[in-house]
Amino acid sequence: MLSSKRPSPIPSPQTVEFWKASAERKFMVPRCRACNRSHWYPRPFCPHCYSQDVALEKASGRGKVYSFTVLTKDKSIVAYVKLDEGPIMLTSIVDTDPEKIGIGSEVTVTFQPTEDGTLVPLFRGA
Amino acid sequence: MADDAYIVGIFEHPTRLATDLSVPQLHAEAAFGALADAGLSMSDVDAYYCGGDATGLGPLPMATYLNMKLRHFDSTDVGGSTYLAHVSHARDAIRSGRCDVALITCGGRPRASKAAVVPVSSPDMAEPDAQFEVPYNTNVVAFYAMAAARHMHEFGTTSEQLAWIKVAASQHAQHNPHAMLPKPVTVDDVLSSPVVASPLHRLDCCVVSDGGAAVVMARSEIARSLKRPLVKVAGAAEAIFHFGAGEPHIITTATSVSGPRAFAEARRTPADIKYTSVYDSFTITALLQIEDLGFCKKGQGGPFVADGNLISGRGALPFNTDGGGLCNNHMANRGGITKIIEAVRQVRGEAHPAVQVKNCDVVLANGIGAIVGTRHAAATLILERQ
Repeated sequence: MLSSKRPSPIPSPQTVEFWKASAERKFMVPRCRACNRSHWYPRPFCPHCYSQDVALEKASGRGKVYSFTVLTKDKSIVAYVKLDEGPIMLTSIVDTDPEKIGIGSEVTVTFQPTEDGTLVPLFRGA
Repeated sequence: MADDAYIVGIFEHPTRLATDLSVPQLHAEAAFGALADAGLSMSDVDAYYCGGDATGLGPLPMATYLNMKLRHFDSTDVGGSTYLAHVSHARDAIRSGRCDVALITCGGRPRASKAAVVPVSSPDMAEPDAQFEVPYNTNVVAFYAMAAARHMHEFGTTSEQLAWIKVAASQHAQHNPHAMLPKPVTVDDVLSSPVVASPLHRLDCCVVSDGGAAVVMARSEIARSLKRPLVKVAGAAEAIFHFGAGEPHIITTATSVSGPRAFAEARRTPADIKYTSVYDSFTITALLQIEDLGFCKKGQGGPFVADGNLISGRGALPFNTDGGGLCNNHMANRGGITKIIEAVRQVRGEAHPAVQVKNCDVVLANGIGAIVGTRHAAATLILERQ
């Protein structure tokens, strides 16, 4: 794998657990125990019902491309992926021929390091 | 009965590359220009409005620099649509008697300074979702490219149709001596320009320019005492759409909320609008607003904008007759204030004769600030000649 030029995320106290799981190649999606709905991105409360009883759950890692673009400058693919858990996530698609994906294509989670080695979840063609 | 508010002064600085002008100076020169246009002076101003492009803490440094004596102010900042929101807020302030004369300024020099984005000062000030955004190396054009891709997927919109938006803007820009890109372009020119972020081409993107602009508003009695056409703010509304819990709005903008509210207040419908300014950071941005304002059905924007329908004197909906952000000016990476200014020129009958819309008594100006897809604010104004 080429050396990464991905900027590193700066975790906040409430997202340390998310990034710790990500370092172990586990993609976690928050779910509210009060209303049972998932949301993205992780927050210390539920943005649907505002309960603070939210927990990270290991996600299926599967989703479908909602929209995407190929940046000419570096051929990278930026995408919105609709997770099987419900929310739409901003992400990248990697290790995938742009010609082989389209809106609606199935993708699965993978991980790549950022500049400081933090593993971030992103997606590749299923 | 509440007093009405009028736009009495406008000014767009002719510079597009401000090598020897500071940011406060751009704001100041724009203010002087708009006050002169109105026939007012700085001592008449009792309310000041600025966005994040003004240097320092809210309205305070510019208030000092211009030695203004203020009893009302607002530094709402939502990016490019800020100044349309300011007109709405100043309208409310004038109506409620908080001020008599409101000055709104915008200005910046991203071209001269080559610094388009101000870095976040500390991790505490980072947006809460920044950590879930920066690792993906995205940028502004990528978000609008994803909007365009999704619109194409759902409605069959084509790159040719989007290109017509640029073609129309360029047809208007050729008559603007200050336009950054005054040369008319064709659909083929747009499609053969390099793809920046698929499906958007370089010519689907607005210019990066330096500049300054200002708008002056006044209450009825003052406006009527001036020797300028009376331009009433007949309708004004704002709204915010955002990513929320994981439901980004990428093909519907907050204009779908602000537009109908502004129309209702003005007791107008899209059929009454003789000219419209819409925010054109990218061709797709303009297309989404044209749909959300109700000029055509959602999804029909592609066929609607094609074949010159936005060109003054030729199409049904003359738009951005100054050349817009696509060809004229997108000062400080904020194109909202010029949307107001060209709408005022049109409703006054003071646009360039080659692009002036006939019998132009009711106009609309719409802005989108920040980024469709993550979070953005729309503001809609309906202006009427009295």
